[in-house]
Amino acid sequence: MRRWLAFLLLAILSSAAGLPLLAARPQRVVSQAVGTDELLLALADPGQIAALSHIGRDVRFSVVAAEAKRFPALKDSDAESVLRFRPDLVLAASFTRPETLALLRRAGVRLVVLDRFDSLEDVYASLRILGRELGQEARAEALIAQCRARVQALAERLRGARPVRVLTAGAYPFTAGAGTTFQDLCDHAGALNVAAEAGLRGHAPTPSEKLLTWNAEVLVISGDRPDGSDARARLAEIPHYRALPAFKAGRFAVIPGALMSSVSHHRIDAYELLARALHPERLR
Amino acid sequence: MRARLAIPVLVALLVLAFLASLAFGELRLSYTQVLSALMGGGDDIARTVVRDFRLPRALVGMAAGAALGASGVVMQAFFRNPLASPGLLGVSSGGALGAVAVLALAPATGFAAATLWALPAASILGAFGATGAVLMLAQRGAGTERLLLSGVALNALLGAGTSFLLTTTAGHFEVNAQILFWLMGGLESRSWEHVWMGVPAIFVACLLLLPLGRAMDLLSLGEQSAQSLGVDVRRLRRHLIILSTVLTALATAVGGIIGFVGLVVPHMLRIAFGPDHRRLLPYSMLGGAAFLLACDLVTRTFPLGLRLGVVTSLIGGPFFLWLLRRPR
Repeated sequence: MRRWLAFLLLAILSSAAGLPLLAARPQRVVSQAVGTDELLLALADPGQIAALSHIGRDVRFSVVAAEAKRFPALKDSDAESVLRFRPDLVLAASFTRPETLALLRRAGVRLVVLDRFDSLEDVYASLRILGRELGQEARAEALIAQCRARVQALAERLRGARPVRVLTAGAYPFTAGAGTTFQDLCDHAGALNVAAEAGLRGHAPTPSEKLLTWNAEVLVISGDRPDGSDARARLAEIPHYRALPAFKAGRFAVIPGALMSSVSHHRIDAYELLARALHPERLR
Repeated sequence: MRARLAIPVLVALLVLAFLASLAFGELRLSYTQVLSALMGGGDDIARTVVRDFRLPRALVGMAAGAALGASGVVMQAFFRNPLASPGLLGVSSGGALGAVAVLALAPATGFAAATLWALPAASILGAFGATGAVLMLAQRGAGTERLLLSGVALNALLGAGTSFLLTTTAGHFEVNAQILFWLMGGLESRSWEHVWMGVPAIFVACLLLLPLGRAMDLLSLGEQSAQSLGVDVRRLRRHLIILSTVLTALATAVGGIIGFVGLVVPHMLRIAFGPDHRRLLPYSMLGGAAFLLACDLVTRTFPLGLRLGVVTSLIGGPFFLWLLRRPR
């Protein structure tokens, strides 16, 4: 009874002071996707995090793998694995299985589904949502400002540079056209995505014969090894890539896989990396 | 009378399908461009597309189709069952599992291990492993029924193995995409390496199979009758199973699992030209080649990366049902 009274008093005081309800700040947040892991680690106090996704600690997919290893990982992506951590907030992505989301909702856990990550503005919006949910609005705003400054600085350096014609290539028989995170990467790194130029939207099946007519100057590949030797070996097995002049001349830009697929603010690292590869004279 | 027309008609269909495979693709090329590219002239792009993309693809498709067609005839004669097909003994599934195993290991071993040759080699090993297993399981008694059942069981087992590997590589999209290639078959990205590793051996196996047509006719009368007519049934069965395994294994190694060609093509040709194996074998080779090239043309011209195994099955599935329902 006394504790309850104390809580009530605290609640009245904090709302009178315009502060968020202290107890409302979630203390056991579970993140289900690598993208939400990256955002959560950037904003939350370590004490607020109960568990992160399993992929979040895999260096091939996660930019924050080392950091994520300090926290428990979800065994699976199903509702039971999540509820085991008795979360007070669950972060999921649009691609989380709908059955899982339904079960979590039924369990009465607060659920935030982040479903837009095509552009930086989407990331900023996610950061704001998450900042509000975590009670870390100031941290979110600071991070967004920091990101904006870096993007701005990169744009300054690249101003007036001729965009380099690039194509993203991988053994996966799909190519990224307009409206993809790869397009976003190109837009910020002084690159022209030839697939988008040719009219491809989203991730479309690679038109193998037409690749030859697109005149890509540089192939952007994601490699698990820093020199991209693994990715290049894979491409060498596909006759359509092997025939491209850029391949023959060895003009590759290698982006680590985790960065290439990052849907968080960490993708700015990829912008800078690609810009440096394509415009070395402007970024030293 | 009709049989006399068979070879010219089938050859004409095959030539037509082959030329169409060279002429049609994503890139619009005129006939003169295609022709001059074949001769080594024309611009770089047309030359690369025709000689390095379309020609090897068509050759591999032709060989795989011929192999599956011939193998289907053999299986149906061997089991004296019109519903038998190359996939039945688990040969294709074994081949796919071999390739998929190499792919599933790739993230751990580095992709260098999954080179162009490792995949087909593993696929051939898997196919032979599956045949060996079926033969061993069915050795005692060795009746065709037992062999057939063993094949069905093995098929399920191998399929489960492949599915398991597929789940262990979830998240590795590139590996998953390649595994799908093996499971649903396809001729995209076939290169001259695939031609060299598959086509000559398939050609030789087909040649070795052709003289066995008469013995297969006798076998279709029943094992004892064949024996009494002077056929060394044990030897014949061994030859047939080895050759059809080689053909299925090679077809799987260069094109993944392509279902139904071995089932559909021999039946269509049997209905059209009669059950004589001396004829049915070469007809099914030609017909299988033409059929697969035609199906591949569908996948190529269809906008949404339609898989070859899906097309053959979409055509083969209804046909199979029709065969079952047909009044005898």
